[in-house]
Amino acid sequence: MPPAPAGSSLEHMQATTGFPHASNQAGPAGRDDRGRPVPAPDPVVLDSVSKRYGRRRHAVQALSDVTVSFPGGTLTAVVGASGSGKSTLLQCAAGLDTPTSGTVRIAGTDLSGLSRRRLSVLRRRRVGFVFQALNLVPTLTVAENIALPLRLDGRPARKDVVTRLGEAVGIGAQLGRLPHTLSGGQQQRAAIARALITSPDVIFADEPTAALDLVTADGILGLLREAANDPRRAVVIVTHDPVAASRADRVLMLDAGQIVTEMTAPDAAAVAAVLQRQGPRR
Amino acid sequence: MMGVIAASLRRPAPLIGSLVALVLSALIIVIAASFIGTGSHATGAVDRLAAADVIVTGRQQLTVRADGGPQTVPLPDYRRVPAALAARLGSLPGARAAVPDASFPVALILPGGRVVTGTAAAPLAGQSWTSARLAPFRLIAGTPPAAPGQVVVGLQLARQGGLRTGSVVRLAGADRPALRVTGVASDGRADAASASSVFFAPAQAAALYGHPGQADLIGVIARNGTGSPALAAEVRSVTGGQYTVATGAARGAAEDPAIAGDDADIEGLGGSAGADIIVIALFVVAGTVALSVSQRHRQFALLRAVGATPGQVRRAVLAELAVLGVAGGAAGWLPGCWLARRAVRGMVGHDLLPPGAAAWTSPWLLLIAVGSCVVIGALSGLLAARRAGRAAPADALRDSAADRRWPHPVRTGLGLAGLGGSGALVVAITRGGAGTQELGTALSLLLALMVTVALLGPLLAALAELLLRLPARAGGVAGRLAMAEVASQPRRMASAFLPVALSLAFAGTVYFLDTTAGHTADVQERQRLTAAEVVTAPGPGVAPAALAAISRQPGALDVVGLTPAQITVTDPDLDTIAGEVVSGGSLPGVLDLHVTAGSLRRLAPGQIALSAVEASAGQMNAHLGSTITAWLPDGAPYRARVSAIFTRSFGFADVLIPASAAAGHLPSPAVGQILAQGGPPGALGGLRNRFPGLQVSGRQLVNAEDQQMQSQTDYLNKLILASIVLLAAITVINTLVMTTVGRRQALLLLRRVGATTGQLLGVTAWQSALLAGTGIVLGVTAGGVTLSTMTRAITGTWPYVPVTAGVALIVAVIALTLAGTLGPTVLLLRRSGADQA
Repeated sequence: MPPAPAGSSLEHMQATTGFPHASNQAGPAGRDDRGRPVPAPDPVVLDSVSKRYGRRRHAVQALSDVTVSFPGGTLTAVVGASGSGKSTLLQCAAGLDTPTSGTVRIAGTDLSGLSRRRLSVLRRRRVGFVFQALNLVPTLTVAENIALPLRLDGRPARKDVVTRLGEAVGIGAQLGRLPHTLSGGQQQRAAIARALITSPDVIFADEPTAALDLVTADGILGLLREAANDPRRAVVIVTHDPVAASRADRVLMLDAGQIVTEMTAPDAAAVAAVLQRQGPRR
Repeated sequence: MMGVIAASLRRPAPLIGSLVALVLSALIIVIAASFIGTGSHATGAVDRLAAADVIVTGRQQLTVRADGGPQTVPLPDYRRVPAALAARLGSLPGARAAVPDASFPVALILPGGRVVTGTAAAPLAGQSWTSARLAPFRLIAGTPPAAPGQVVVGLQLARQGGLRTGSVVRLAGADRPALRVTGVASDGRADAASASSVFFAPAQAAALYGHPGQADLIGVIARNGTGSPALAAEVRSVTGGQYTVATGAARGAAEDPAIAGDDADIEGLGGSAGADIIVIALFVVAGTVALSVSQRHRQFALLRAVGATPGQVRRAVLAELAVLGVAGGAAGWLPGCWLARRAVRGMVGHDLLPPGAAAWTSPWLLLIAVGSCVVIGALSGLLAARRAGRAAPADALRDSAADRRWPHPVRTGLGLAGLGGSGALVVAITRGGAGTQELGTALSLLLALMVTVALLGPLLAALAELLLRLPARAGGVAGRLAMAEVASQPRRMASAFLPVALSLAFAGTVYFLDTTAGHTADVQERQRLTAAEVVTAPGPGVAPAALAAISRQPGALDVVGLTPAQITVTDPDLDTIAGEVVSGGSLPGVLDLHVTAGSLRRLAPGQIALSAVEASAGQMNAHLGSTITAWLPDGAPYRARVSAIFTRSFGFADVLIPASAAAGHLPSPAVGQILAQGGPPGALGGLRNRFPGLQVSGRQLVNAEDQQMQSQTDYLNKLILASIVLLAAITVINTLVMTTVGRRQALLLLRRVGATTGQLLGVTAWQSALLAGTGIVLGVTAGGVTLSTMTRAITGTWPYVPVTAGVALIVAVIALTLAGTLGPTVLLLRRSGADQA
């Protein structure tokens, strides 16, 4: 199994779980007709995706014909004013919500037409998700929360793997505690660990640092940056924070459900300026 | 997922409501199962026949073949056997003696004028001195009765009545000379037999018994060295399958044929009423579980977002309910046994069960309770589990507690269908009548209405909010906040007011059905009796000769004798109902039964009169001229043509039979009461010399059988009412506490924003007002529709709702609602205030 980038504090996770990276499994895009290797598709691809809520005069067009892909090995930040469609884009890309039109592919699999059950299985194996808050099941310990996707998949959750992953994200001492005894930052770290336990193809994080102080937020963003260093994994974060966005390889700005601007490795000031120009959603 | 389930018990708060509901269900199941077990195990004490190793009786079950298959009920009186059978049985090799036993009810007037009739459980009974050896009774003073006019009394009776050898007593109501006590006998036990036995000389006993050549039973005493089973086998070789041969504890039923009826009643109570209440419990558990699951919606959405399939979430919820079912069943087992014992003791006190009957509280009840609660939990949680499994993963991203804006179309459609179905049930009951199954039918109709209310709940909550919106604005910010919360969470509000409506509707229906029946009986009694005088006597009644004697009084116009009897009919199931045997003159002269078809002027042999309730389409479906079969107390069939239908039957009887048809088939030849019209007032008092103990009253007509049945029905209804009230009260509190605790986040947020404790309590008070108001309106509507339908079908009247009782019920519901909302809110706010400090 290909190792995680050298120096990664998460490399032991891949080396010791014995859990094959999802993208290492042979798939239809492995070789072409002549046997030549074909590059693996981007972990997440959206093609002409639109999402409308409500009907008739109460309808809200949250996404409008969005076509974008999130390549492996990248950290993408999706920014925009409130109501621009950031969270809707995230939900559709992660398979948490169904687009009104268009297609979404995760690791080459078209999500449309999948049953709820198959979608759930795909999500637990290929997608990691970090919410803004209330990430953890309140009645499970931190260790149990981290191991949850494996247990849902019927796979054993090795204690040493969970421990090492917990230590890698900085909550090794809190593994036996219940979520309500943790700080916000510790809960987010636990959520990141849970998102990583199955070595997913993509990690989505919805405003992961919104409720955190600067130092803690920086630590969280560092973990997500590190996770994106895996060439087979894409990390997508939704944020309204220019500083958080500046940690990304690419910044997509949404306005009225459409991608209006794409920036490559911008600094915080550039992101802030673009956001300022966009102004609040009317 | 099993780990997720086990982990949910670490923070059991969201599960406590469901657990409480399951514990309640376990209580009811244990009580119902205990009743069924008690009925099937109760045999009655073997007292008067203790010395008889084998007892032979007629088949005490009446079996009738009907369209739905054979139906069997116990007979209320002995199916008599030929007395000559005793001679054949006495000659068997294993038998020492065979004694025919023939007992008849008596009432003694003691030397001081006091009248002794025995107790309801052990009425005073006369029998031949030859039966004494069946106990066995032995003389401890004096001599046995050798000639008419001589009696021997039991030791307890002698002590209680101050009787001794030489005392003179009289038979109440009998046209007989006085009796002299020639001896006192004891069976060696201070038991009911010793207090209720009067022994006559054989010839006089046979005359008083009134069934020549017959006996109630034959008691066979074994020779030394012959066991009961061997003797029973010999007896069966003679009797074949024609008679019942009982040994051991089974002889208890032979000693008192009413025991079989009692057993059937308590089994029926456990079965049918228990089933109705279990369905209500299922309803309650379903509502509580739904509320618990909805309060954890985000948790289930989170599981779905992390990758749990809908099936995994569903199974988690059902497994959680199974665990709760085990816990609830175990917790409800012992309290249920305790309550069952209390209830059975009450039933013994009301002669619903034989003396000494004890509740069946086998350890099997634990298995029954746990198993049933697991099934109830799983069944009631199916919809909630499905809803949890369908939780949208995207909901994990939202922190909103708002329900969907529009009501679910399927739920609304089902609710409207339920409304239609309830309407159809109302029509069916109105047309078909409910008759003797009124309580069960009422609960079924009410359940249908409450299911409709549950399905339409969110719509009704939205409507209530709309109606209360303007008045709430007058309540300032508290009112506005309260209505805003209601408007955004109609489903949660519906879950909260449903138990309020349920408790009011069920408790009110059961209670006011009873008050209506009682009131109707009172009104009809006043309208019914037109006779100037009612003549009765203690014990079995007045000698038949009194009827002729009163008829010969100067000026007597109409003189009619009425004797209560339990008659068995198919209505449409085989059922025993209150009847009257009519003797003497023309009934309309002394009773106005409001005849709607035919005439009661002369009830001739081959004729029968029915109450309108019994004749209705849902019961016997009989009309004037129909030929039906009724069975007399000893099982003798009476095929007759319906000659009259009457409506004033409450507190009286549902069937009238001519005395000539019933002669020889009743427990006693005495006439229960004589109604007389005409003649100078007070003249009948002069007959007391001839008929000692005669009582002449103005305006009180009593059917002792119906009175006792009504008293027993009242007690059973009270038991059912108590169960429903307990279930309802705890459910209301439980659900409202759950709902209030579920608002914790919202309350704390408001406090942080700056709301004072008074304002927060004001919000809760406004919501309580909406909950209580909506619950009361719906409960009164559902209960009112049910009550009106039932009373119109049964009595033809509107419900009788005493104002005091109605107000008390509503006040109780309001108090419960406030206790379930304001109480937890105060505690929540205190605790949050302490945390912040």
